[in-house]
Amino acid sequence: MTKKSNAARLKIEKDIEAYLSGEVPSPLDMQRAAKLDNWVTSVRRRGKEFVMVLCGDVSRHPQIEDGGNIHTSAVLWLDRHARFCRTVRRVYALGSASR
Amino acid sequence: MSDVDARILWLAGVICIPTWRAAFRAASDRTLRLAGFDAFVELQAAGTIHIGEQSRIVFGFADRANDPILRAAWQMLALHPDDGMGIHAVVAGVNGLLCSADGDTSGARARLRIWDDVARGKYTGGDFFELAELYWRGEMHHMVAAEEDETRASSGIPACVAMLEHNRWDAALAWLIGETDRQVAGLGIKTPNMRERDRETLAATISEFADLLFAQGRPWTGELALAWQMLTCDPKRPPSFTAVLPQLQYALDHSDVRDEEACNLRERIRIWWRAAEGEWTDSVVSVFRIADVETQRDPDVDDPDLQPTPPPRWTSIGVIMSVDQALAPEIDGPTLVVMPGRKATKLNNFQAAYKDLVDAALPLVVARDVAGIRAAMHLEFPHAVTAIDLLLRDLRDGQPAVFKPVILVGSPGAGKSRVVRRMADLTRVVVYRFDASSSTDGHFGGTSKGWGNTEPSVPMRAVAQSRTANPVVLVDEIEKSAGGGASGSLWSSLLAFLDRETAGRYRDQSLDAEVNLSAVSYVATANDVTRLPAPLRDRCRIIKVPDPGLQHLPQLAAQVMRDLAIEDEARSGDVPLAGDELAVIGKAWAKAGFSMRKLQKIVTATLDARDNYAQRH
Repeated sequence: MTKKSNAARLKIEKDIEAYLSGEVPSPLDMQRAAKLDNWVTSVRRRGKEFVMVLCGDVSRHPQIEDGGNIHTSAVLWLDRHARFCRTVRRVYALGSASR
Repeated sequence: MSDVDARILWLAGVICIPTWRAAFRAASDRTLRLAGFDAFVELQAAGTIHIGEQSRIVFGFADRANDPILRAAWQMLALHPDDGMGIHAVVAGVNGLLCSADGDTSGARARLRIWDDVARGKYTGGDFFELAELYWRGEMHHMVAAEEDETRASSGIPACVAMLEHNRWDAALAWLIGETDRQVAGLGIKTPNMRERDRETLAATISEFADLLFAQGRPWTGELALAWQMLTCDPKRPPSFTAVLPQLQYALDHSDVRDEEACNLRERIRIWWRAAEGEWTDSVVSVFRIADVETQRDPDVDDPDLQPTPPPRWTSIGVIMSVDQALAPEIDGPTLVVMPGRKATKLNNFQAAYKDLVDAALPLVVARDVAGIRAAMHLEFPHAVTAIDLLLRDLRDGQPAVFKPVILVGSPGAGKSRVVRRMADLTRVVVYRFDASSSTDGHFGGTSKGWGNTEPSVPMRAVAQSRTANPVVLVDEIEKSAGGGASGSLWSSLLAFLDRETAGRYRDQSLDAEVNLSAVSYVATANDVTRLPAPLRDRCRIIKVPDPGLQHLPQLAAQVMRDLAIEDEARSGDVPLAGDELAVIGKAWAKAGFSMRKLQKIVTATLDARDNYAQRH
C-alpha cells in the first residue's frame, strides 16, 4: 500500500470514529467542502457487494466545474439529518435533496 | 525492571504511606542517601511548628534534590490543603510518572484521586496521607470499573454488526434493549419505552434515542445508535436505509469478525442492500425476516432432486408419535429427535442404554435471561469479560442454547474450564467432559459395532447421559492429545462433529444409526493452539482467556470466599478480607503467577491463618 493511500485510510478511520462519537465536520470544513445540490441516493452493485453513491449538482469541487452533474465515489457515512456525507475521497456538504 | 521504574515504584510506595510523618521520614532517608543532607535533622533544627513556615522549608528540600522523582516526593510533602492549584499541578505531574512506570501503581493512583478531591474541597483535613488512607478504596473500585469500561469499549463485535444476525425484528429489539442496558449502565441513560405499537411514534422515539446515544461522544455509543437506527429500516420505504447502510457496511468491513461468520453477515447485509434498492417494497415483514429467509435459500441448485435436505430445524412433538412418546410426560418447549428409528438398525445387548432414545423427542435446553447470565459471569470473571461476551454471543433468549465450536486459549489456571462449567450451570445445559490428554486415538468418534465392547461416540454418550439434545462437550486440554497413527486421532474424528450440517446426519458406527447431533455444542480448552491442525482451528472460534491481574484481586478473592462458604458451612460467617489482607494476598499471588488455582489456595491459607490467630475466649 502506498504512503498516500495509507494516509487517506487513516484519515477515513479517524473521520468515521468522530462521526460515531457524534461529531460533525466543523463549520469551516463545511464551508470548504464540495457542495451537492438536488441530490439523490443510488445503490450500485460492485460484483457481489453493494455501495451507495450520491448523484447531484456539484459546486466548490476541486476538480469539477460548478454546476456539473456528478455521481460521487462510494459513500461511507451519510449523516442521518442529511447535512453532510463522507465518501471514500472527501466530505460533501449536502444542499437540498431532489424530490 | 529498569532503574527509573524502580524509582517511580518507590514514589508510589511513599504515596501509600498512611501518615505525613512516616512519609516525611521515608523521603528524608532517601535524601540522605542520594543528596547527602538529612532533612529530618534540618527541620528539627529549624524548630518551627508554624505550618506555613514548615511547608516553605520542605519545599526548599525539593529545590535541593537533583533527582526529579525525589523532588516530586518533596513537592507532595510540602503541599498545603488550601493551595488548590498547587495540588492539582503536583498531582498531575506525579500521576503522569506513575502511569508511565512498568508495574502496579494503581493503589497510589487511587490515593492521588483523594488528594485531588481535597483540592476541590470534598474532604477537609491537614494530612493528605491520612485522608487518602481512609478513603482510597472507594476510588480503587471506580478505577477498576473504568478500566472495565475501556476493555468493554474496545472489545468484540460492534452492536450494529451483531444486529445483522437476528432473524426477527422483535428479537433484534429485545436483544438490543438488553445490550444497550448493559453497555450504557454507567452513563445514566435509560432505554426508551418501546411499548407503543404505532410505527411513526416508534420511529420518532428511536431517532430521538439515537441522537442521545450519539451525544455521548464515544464511538461505541455511536455503534449502539446505529444499531437502533437499523430498527427503523423498512423495506416498504427504501430511503429509510440510506442513512444507515453506508456506515453499517463500513462497520462490518472494519470489524473484527471471524471469517466464516463474516461470510454469513456479508450475505445478510447484501439482502439489506437489495431492500434499499427497493426489491421488497410490497413486503409485510421486516428486513430481518427477509434476510433470514433469503440466506437460507441456496441459489446454485435448481434441480429439486438435487436439493440438499434442509438443515435440521427444531421439530416439535406431534408430527409422528409412537405410543411410548404419546405416553411420555409432555415436554414444554422445543425438542429434537436425536435418534430417528427409521434410520437405525437393531441395537445389540451392549447398547441397551440407548434403546429408549430411539424416536424419543429429547428436550432442547432453552437459554433464558442471557443478559443476567452475562452480568453474573462478568462479576465472577472480571478478567475475562471479553472472552465471556464472545462465548455468550450465540445465545438468544428463548432459543435453544447452542454454541458454535469454541477453543478457549489461556495459560494454566486462567479459569478456562471453570468459565465453561459456570456458563453451563447458569444456562442449565449439561456439560460432558472429555479429557483429551489421555486420548491417543479416534475413540472420540465411537468404536465399530463389530467389537465386543463397542462404544458410541462421545457426543452421543453426552446426549444419552444428559437426556437432552443439546449438551456441551467440553474437550479439556485439546492440544495435549497424542496420536495420529493408524488408529486415528482425536483431532480428525472431532472435525466431523464441528460442522453442523454433517453432525445433523452423523452415522454412529457403534449404534449403526444415523443420529442428529446438530444441537450438541463443543467447547475445547487449550494452553496453546499452534500445535493444532489448521482445519480444526478454522472450524472453531478461538477465544483468548487472559490472565487475571492485581486489579481484579478484590473481586476474585471475594468470589473465592463465596465458593469456600458454599463448600464449607463453617466458612459462611467469615468477615470479608480487609485491605491489608488483600495486600498480602496480592503479593503472594503475584509471586505465584496469577493463577486462579493458586489464588484459591492463598485465600484458604489466609483464612486459616486468621482462624489460628483469632482471639479465643
